[in-house]
Amino acid sequence: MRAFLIRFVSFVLLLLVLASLLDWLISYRYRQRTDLIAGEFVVWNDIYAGNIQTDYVIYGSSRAWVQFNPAQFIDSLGQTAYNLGVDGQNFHMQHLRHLELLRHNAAPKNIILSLDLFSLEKNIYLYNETQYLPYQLFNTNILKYRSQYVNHKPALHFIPLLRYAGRKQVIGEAFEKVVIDKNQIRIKGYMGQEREWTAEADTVLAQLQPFAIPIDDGMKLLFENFLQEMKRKQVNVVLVNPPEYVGGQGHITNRNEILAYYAAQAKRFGFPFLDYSGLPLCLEKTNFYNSSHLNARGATLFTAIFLQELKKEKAIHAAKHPSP
Amino acid sequence: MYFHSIDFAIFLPLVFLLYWFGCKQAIRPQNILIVVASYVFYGWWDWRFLGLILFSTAVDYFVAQFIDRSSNKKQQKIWLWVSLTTNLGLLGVFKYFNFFIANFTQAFRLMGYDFQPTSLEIILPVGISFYTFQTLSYTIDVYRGKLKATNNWFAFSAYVSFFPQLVAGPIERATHLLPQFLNAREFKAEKAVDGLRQILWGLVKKIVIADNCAEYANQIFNNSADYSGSTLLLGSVFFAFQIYGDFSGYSDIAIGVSRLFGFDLMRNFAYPYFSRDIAEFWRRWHISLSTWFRDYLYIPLGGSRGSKLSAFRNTVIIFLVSGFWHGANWTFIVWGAFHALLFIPLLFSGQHRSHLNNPADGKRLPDLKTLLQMILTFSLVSLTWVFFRASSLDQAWQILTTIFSFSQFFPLQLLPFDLLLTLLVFIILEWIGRTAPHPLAHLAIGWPRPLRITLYMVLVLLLVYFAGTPQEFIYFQF
Repeated sequence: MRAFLIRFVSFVLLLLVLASLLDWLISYRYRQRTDLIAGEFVVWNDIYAGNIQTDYVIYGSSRAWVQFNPAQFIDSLGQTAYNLGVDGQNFHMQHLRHLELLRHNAAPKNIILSLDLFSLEKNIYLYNETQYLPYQLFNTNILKYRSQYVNHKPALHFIPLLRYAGRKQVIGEAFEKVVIDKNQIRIKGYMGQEREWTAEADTVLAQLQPFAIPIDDGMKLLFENFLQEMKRKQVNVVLVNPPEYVGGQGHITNRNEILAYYAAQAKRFGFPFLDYSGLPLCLEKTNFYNSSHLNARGATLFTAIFLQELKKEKAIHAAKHPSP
Repeated sequence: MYFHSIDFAIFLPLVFLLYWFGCKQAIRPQNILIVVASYVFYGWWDWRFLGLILFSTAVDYFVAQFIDRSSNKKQQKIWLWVSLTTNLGLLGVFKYFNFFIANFTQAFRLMGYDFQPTSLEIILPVGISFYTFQTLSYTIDVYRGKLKATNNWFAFSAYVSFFPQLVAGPIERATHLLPQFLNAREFKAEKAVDGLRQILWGLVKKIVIADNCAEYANQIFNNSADYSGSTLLLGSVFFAFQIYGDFSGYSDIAIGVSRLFGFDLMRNFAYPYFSRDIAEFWRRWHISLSTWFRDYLYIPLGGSRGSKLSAFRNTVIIFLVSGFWHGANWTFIVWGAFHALLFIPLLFSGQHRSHLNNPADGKRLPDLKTLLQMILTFSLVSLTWVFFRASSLDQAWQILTTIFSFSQFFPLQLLPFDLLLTLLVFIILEWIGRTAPHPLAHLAIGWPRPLRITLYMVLVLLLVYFAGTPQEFIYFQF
């Protein structure tokens, strides 16, 4: 029996070593595919390399990463910014990115939190879940946040290679030879979308029936706890509802209720809430590629307007809290 | 709990260590542990049906004792009928109730009587057909005087619920397995290592072959009206490999796991797709079920002795019952009937036992005749699988008529080269290992240890790479 167990354990250990090597190789290669998954690997790689040492960080979903251009922060404020918007994720997964940022980088002093009407909706399935694969081995933060979605097992975070089982596409993409277009890479987390409003966007909008977005109590609690913690740590948070095309604003029946909730929470914790859904640029389809996303032209216009307002907010804040 | 799940990968080593180190090699604690582990294993799916296993165990445990104690043949027969009625009654209620109701209703409608019977929302307990047959074999063997009734409750409970083969066989005979629970088990490293090899090969069959074939078989069968005859034929071949990989893979894992605990289970598959005729196929496919029917149904009916008519009748019965055992659907009955039609000519021409040896015995490659026989048998078997896989007789008919139509000559609408290549390698490996209980018992055994270990590592990595969309074991539904 002893000999059998020694042989078996040796085999398993050898297998684990081999699996770890392959795991590392696949993860390493996959992380280089900055052209995939809305370029999320650019941001994750910067987070894990500790490269995000900026004056401002921008949190949010796709409405953050395609609409706030960090390059304009330098020009306008003379300060640096990094856009940490994560495509298609609600506040729950945005918060995971926040935690990972804190773990590997200096804590931010100024946060711009881009909100949308779906931020506090709970999801069952995790969108773009393969973006977490290269980083999730032994990562307890990712385990904690991913385990709230269906079909997720803790063992996938602790056994090397297991999470790649059956993912032929991911393994194929990791080893695929591609030349990545440097113009198609997120810069400081941002990539303006050189797209125009199309007839398809019109059709989608026309077919959209009114609906309500269910707001999850757990998400509200997470959101409020986050604001409270930022308040306690004296981090400046600016809550923003970025522009939406005016023709698309009427479909969500509880829109006012959600925006009122954001405004109330901002007031409660003493943070500004800036709602840009009434800007004149929201009247022009030429600034959007769909009803909730600005194209590159619209994003440049919006960022400039936002930074003007931010300057004012800074001035107000400085007057309220004069430095010693 | 699935054999190819992380849960089982944790469960198995735990039970293994407790079994050999926590029970001090004593029979009773080991048996108790097996019963507890088996109930946990089964309860992982649905704990509500544990009562059913317990009930079935209790009925046959006591019935067998009553039979054993009684010297009156009539009384013994009554007790046997108690067991038969209880076990087959449970099977009838849980598996066949709605089928019979639906068919009676239809039959009455044809006669002009229309009524709305109550159909029940019955969930089929996993593995009920397997453990029911296993307990029945015990009572029947006690009745026949082949076996003494045991008064060891835990040994008998362990025999009924033994987790490796509880839900999908092999269907063990009490004469073979029960004595193993009554006697001390000895750990033999060689046996355990071979068990691990068989588990590995079973996982390869399930994960690499069955689950990947399932993706295409499901796509083709679920949209059969959209595909040409050639593609549907390919779909039936994929299903043939899916069901083989799935079921024989499960059996391999069950046998391998049992060996880790010092038990020997009967062989359930012997490379059936290398069969040279249908009779040989049935000696190599689901052996534990076909021999069960042979011993407890075919021979009591008279077997092939007597007139040709009675031999014909007995053969038809056994194939129809075998089909019906698989599920409460006419598709399974027709599947059984087709196999009977293919078997009967061999029976009457006396050729049903003409292939008792291994194909191309002692040779590396088959001769042309053997090869053609194997291809023909495989083709026939694959076509009959259409009934097995189709959701209804109408769909089976649609598929078969399309296969035998002009569209058979149309180009394939699906051609997954990687899967076909994988199947080719799999067939070659099975061919090389066809004289052994499983290919890994033959392959690489003479190789130097580092090379052998490398092969096993490669197989494990293939499991990771090829892991398809996880599919349930097909035979769980039976």
